[in-house]
Amino acid sequence: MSRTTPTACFAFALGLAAPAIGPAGAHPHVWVSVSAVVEFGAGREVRSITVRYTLDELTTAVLIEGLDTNSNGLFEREELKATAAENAESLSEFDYFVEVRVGEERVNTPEVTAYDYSYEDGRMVLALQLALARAIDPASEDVAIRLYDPTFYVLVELEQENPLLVSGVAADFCRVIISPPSRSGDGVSISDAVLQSFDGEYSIGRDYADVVALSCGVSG
Amino acid sequence: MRRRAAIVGLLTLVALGILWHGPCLAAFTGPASVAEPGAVAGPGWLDSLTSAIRARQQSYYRELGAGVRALKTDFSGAAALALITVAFIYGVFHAAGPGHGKAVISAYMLANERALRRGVTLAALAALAQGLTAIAAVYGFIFVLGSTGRGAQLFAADMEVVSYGLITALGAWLLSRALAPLVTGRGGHRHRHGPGHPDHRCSGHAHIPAPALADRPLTLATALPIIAGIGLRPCSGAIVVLIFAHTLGLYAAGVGATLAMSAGTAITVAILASLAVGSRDLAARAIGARSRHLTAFYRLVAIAGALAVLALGAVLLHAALTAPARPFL
Repeated sequence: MSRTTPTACFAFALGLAAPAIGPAGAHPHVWVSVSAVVEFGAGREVRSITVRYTLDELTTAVLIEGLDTNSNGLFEREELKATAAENAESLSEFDYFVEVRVGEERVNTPEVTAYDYSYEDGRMVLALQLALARAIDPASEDVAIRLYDPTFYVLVELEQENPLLVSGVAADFCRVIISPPSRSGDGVSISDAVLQSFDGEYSIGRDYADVVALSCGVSG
Repeated sequence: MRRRAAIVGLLTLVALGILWHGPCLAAFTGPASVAEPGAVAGPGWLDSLTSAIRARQQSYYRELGAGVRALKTDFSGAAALALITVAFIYGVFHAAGPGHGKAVISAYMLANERALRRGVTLAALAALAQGLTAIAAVYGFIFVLGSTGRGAQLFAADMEVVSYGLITALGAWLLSRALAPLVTGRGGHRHRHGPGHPDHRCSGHAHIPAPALADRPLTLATALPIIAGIGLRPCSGAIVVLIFAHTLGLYAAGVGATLAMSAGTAITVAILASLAVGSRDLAARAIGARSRHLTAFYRLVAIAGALAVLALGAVLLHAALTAPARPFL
């Protein structure tokens, strides 16, 4: 056996091991523009958040193709009803792409309290009002909101204009501060992020999400 | 000379390993859980590479949609060419990401193929089959069955399961064949061919180490399992573009973009698979022509390649069967 044989065998084993480990990684297949309204109760506490999801043209095309059952060239509410319901239902498995945190504590948005949908300019739009599991007092608590798909199947982007608003009563009282993702080129490796997305703690989608904070003054 | 060959082989394989699953490998060496982002840093250049490929995929995917739309507003040769170009580049980059049969094809070629040209042909045919399956699925469902775009897409998801099942079966078959000589006797190639076997062209009877097999002709029977295994799984990007083009009434644009995408995918997969075979053969040259070692080496490679195909198929099948629902699509 020549001296190069062990090297060659090692080289080869390495090459074989690589594809055998299995597929990993994710990249977005769907693009969704979101805007949200943070809604306040009478006591200036955050009660709910309404998220408006606008799907990209390609995804919309797949979802609506064949749904114009009366063949009038329009997609009417009745024709879209089942698809919209299906989408709202599927979003529930992904926390509706919403993460609300008060400091380290995650405040869930388990319940849809209002629901609307439409078809506008080649895009399907879904709007869901999500009640917070508990009311948050933004004057005394630090609120951070992120909108992202934990599986990174969907790339969630904030709308260019007015991505986040506060509802009427708090308009003078609270400011919305949007910061770019904390990740800035160094940070977590994508591979780690992909791996950890499996246990639901941390995901690559989160890594790419803007952070929306509320700055609410007591003076109002 | 041999040593240099071995070094080149080693480097190529390392590069391939990273391209295939570097991010995954890095993940397995990192800490299992991290409380907050920013705590762990992987190799920076690897992240950059992965990010770059991801960014390319993202932008090209969107540009595909934009390209179809542009063709709707301005039906010109230039717009068509732009769409074809974007689709082709999308295919090239998309295939460089995880999945898309490149690992399966590469492992299959290590297990089963001697000749590079055959491998390249198989990669091309498999990629073409993926595109044709997408076209057939979309137009079959929409025109023939009068179904919906969503119906076509759900059908594609079912085909994915069939495809992974086939790959698993193919891996099992390759493995049984690779192990057969060890069970039936230690001879490499000592049995005789009777009158019924005038040459080496009989399928399912490949003697991996025999150089005579290098120019074995490509027959449908030998190629079909791998082509079907990969090709029955339509590219999800192609499905979406086809349906989008259909909704705009641009049928030819969808088909053209899909075929261009397949061509791009074929090139990437063929290059990666060629690298795998090339580095194997470099390693073989380093071992030298002394047949005992070479035979053992090729046999080991065949077993490992077969195991890889089997493992990939099983992992993909399991993932497809247990995958949670996805948002929207």
